[in-house]
Amino acid sequence: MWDTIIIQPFVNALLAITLVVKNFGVAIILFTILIKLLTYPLTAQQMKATKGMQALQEDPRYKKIQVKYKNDKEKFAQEQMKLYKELGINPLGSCLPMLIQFPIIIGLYQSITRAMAATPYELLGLERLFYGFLDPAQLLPLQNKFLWMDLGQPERLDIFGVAIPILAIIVVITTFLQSRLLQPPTSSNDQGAAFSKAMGLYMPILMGWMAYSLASGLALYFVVSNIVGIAQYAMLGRVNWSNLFPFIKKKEEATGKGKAVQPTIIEVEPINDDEEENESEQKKAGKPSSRSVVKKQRPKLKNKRK
Amino acid sequence: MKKSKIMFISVFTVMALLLSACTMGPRAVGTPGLSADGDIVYVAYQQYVYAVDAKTGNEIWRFPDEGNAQIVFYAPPEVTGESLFVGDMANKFYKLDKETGAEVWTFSEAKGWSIAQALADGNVVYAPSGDWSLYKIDSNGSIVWQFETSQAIWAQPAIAGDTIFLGSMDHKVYALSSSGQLLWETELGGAVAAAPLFDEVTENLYVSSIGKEFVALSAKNGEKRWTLDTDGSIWAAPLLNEGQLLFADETGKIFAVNAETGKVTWSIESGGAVMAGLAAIDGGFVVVMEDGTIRAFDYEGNPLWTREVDGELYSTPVTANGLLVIAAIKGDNLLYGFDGSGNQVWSFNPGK
Repeated sequence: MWDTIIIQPFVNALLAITLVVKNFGVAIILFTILIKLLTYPLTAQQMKATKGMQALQEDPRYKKIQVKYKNDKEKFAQEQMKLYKELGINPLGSCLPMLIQFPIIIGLYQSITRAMAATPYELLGLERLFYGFLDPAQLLPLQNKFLWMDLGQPERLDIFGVAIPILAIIVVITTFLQSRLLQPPTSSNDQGAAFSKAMGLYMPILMGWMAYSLASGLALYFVVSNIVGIAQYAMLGRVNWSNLFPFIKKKEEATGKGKAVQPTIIEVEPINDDEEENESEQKKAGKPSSRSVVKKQRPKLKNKRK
Repeated sequence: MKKSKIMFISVFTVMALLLSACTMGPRAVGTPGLSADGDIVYVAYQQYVYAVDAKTGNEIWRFPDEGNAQIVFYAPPEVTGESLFVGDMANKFYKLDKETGAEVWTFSEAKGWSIAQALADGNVVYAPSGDWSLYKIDSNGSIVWQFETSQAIWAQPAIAGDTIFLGSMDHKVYALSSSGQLLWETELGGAVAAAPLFDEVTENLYVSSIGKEFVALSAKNGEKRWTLDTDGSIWAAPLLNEGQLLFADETGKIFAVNAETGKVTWSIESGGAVMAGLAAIDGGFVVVMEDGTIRAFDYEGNPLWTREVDGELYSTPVTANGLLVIAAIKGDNLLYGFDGSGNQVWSFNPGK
């Protein structure tokens, strides 16, 4: 099922490109770009939805209902849905495109692996994936030499007798750049920021290790995928160059362009059904209400900017 | 503990698991490489080369002592005299003591994986590599010469006198002198994954390709004498019996062909996909199929017996100690020993 729907069309597209360009390395690059272009609308939709969700998080009304219904999840969900509708946000907008893209990315990776059949057993499997319009005898095995690389082997470039994993280094750099450039500007205490930071540190190491130990055809795919990914996000205006070049941030702040928005402080009097019930009971008992205690601890409800 | 610290530790743990997953397991999936010498069967599969007693199915030794997930073996071992030669998928080629499995030397100059069986000839050994080259190696493990083709070499070379015949995945068959000079080359319609077979009587070289063809070449100059088109790719060398060539294509069709003329004497459907070569038994031959079926025929194409084993069969069977030995993958056992009537005598599961 997976092979028929995803792997077979992908492998045949990859083979058809190879037939035209006569080079498997170039075919990997073109095929990765093609898949990235085809999934661009999904990426754009995902980014739009993510942006909407970020805006929602900063919306005073959202913060207000968060506090207001902190003990009533059902009511909170209802109010949240109202707000979604009001702001035109689809709560699944960022998940769905990602869910659709996920099998495509996995399929792309697997089809490249399958096309680089390294044993007779793997070549037999590849031969059986061919559609009728392609001739296995003409195409197989694929020409796996590209630049200095054997695409079926881990890549090393011999420089003055030292084997240097150039491609793995490029994978580390591009993965680092991608995670750094896509990191949203958030406060240092933010949990999401901590996660992004951790991913930004470990992902380049993980990807670099994979590029170092796996076939260089896959490392080539990682590099192209990273570069195209950065380009796509840049086109969507989601790249934070200031993460990489702090002087841009300073310059923007100086010109007032990228002036940081001061956080909005929302002060809310919690309205809780339980509390109200308690309050009436406490009144009857002649005790001070919990609300009055809260009132003493917090200023009155109003929005103000500091 | 701060939330951010917990987050860092969680992500680190996931990444560590992913990293360890990336370093585990063989880097390619292959099929067992099987060969036999006297009463011993040798099989190269995944992390080890095993020597198995063909009488009992018991393991005699394994190489290396401790398996390494990064080093896997699929090339059939080449056994000669006191030695066993085998290459791995980490670009190393070994000479072992065939009695003990002790390493004699390691050749590390190749830059590609070993898929094909090597060919030993006197004091030298010819080692084909996935780096597109054939290496001639002397008795000390030093390179004598290297001949480069235009693709990986997955087929065992053949030798006749001073001439070495080599099939390459670049669709070509090469004839080389003992000093490594090219004598002739002939292009076929597809990649050559099967070893060439030299016939002293006809002085033909029989080769096949995954381009659905079986070809007879003149061993002297490489000229095509006859070609037989098949329905499927041919992945293994033919069997020669009294002037009759026997082979099967991937669709499972078995051909008996006159070696001199190329005329098909008879052909039958084996009933399943065939990747392995045919193996001679008393009074006939066996064919093993991908689905685990083993069928024996006489040389007229009449069925003798049929058996089934658990697993898939891709390796050419061998005979040792009068038994037919079959290698299987994805089944309960790696090896099965059958007598001439198709009765299972033993099975071998190496465990861990």
